[in-house]
Amino acid sequence: MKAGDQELIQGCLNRDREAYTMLLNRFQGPVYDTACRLVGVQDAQDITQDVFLKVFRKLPEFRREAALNTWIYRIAVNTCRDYLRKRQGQPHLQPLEESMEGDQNTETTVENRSRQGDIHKALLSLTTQSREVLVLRELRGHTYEEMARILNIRQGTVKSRLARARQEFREICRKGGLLDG
Amino acid sequence: MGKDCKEVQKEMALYAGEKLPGTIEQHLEQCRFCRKYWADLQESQMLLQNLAPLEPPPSLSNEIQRRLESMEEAKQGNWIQWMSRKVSLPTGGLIAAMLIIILGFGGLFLQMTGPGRQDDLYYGAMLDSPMALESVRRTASREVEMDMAADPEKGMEPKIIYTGYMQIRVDDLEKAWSRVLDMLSIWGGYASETRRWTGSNEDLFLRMVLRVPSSKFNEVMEEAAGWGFVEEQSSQGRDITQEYYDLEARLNSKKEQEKRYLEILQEARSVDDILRVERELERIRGDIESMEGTLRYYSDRTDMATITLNFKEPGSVAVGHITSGLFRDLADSFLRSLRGLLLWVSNALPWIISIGVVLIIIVLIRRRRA
Repeated sequence: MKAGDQELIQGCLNRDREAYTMLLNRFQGPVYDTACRLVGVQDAQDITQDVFLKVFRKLPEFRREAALNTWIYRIAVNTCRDYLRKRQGQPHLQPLEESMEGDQNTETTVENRSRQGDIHKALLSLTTQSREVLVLRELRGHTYEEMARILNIRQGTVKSRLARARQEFREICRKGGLLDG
Repeated sequence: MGKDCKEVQKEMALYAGEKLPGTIEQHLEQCRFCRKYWADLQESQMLLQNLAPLEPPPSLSNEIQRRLESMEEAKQGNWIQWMSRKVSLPTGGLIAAMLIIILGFGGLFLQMTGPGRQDDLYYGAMLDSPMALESVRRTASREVEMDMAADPEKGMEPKIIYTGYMQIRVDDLEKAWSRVLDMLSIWGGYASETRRWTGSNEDLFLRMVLRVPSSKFNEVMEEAAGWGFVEEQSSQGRDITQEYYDLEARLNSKKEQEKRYLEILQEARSVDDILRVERELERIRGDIESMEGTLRYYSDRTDMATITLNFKEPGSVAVGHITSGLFRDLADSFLRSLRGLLLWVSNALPWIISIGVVLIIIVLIRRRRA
């Protein structure tokens, strides 16, 4: 368990506003990004809200031996699955221009933005299973062990899904002309 | 493409971004297709890793806080509704009666045992030897060392939150008090809370919450242990080094961003541009403020350790109590329980009345509904 998590959790359980804000500050960004990548930008705000309401509601049941980080992502992934189920497994594929406006990196050129949008679209066109492992691994940088806990599967399964997902993603990028070679 | 290329490609997909095992390397030297496949895999992985994170709109965290608050309110509202709808009259009466009994006996018990007991209950009796102190400090700093070994940024000053608790029996409470105040000025600390009260048996109590520089934590605990008989002691050191420097780094990058936006603002010409940059600036400043707040909180907690001291000076009755015989004991305890009973009745009276009023209201609501 990461240092400082204990205080954070205890603070939230004591309804300490400062602790709430700290927990939000730490996880809000990555959870929002994860929701964008798994379900699409349109639902990401709603999902992020749902995730944190669940986190705060379920915090008293949280078992301390698990890491806070993986626990929150597990809730996030499950919430994303619920939303995807509502839309029959089809994520939103709308362009990202508007949502990128709030991006911190003002030097990002229009070209670069549309390229980032294409990459995001390529990611969204994968199966949910493949998308989950790719987002957790390549974007969030989780270890196999963490991923196994978040997705509630064995580490072996994580590895085989990841290998398949990378092959699928390479194929889509190649077809979409996203690769240089 | 060779027959086993498919297998090789599947295997190398797992190694993207890492070093390939020798057997696959050998295959790549001979196989042009797989070499290309490997390059594509690496490149497509880089595409994902270089995706700029999508930032949530600034309104999101406010929205979450607002929903959290309304969730809490809804919870309380539901409880009252549930009471008026679900609880039948006999059940309600039973619950109320049990509440009164529990409150009453709880009160009686506390009255009989005196405030010294209350403190024991409150602090969850964690008995520690003074040795444990040193070990806490040592474990905490070892953890920091391990963290630093993993971290390329060396020379980070460890950030540790120290808290301690001690219950001390003294002969002279006044003397102990003035001693603490003297020592506080030497240590460079202050008392954030001071409370004095007299318990049953004329026991005197003094509770002080001290804030002293963290570097003095051990010294203060050792010094305090010498002031009387230590009945209970515990200490804790929690390492937040990683957390602290992570946050500090993020804060610095936000400040960098703010500076850049200010530069952009200087060059902006159209009103539209100016408004957009200002919106961004406002968002970043909000972030900066909240991060600075958190850092201040961390700094305060790590710079100054928190030590709670509970002094107790046993009263004269308690001393006589020990020396006298069985008869005196019996009379004493009878008188005390009688006193407790009387106190309980006077304590419980407002409760009985207010619970009665609530019950009557529930009955009225139910009658009207029916």
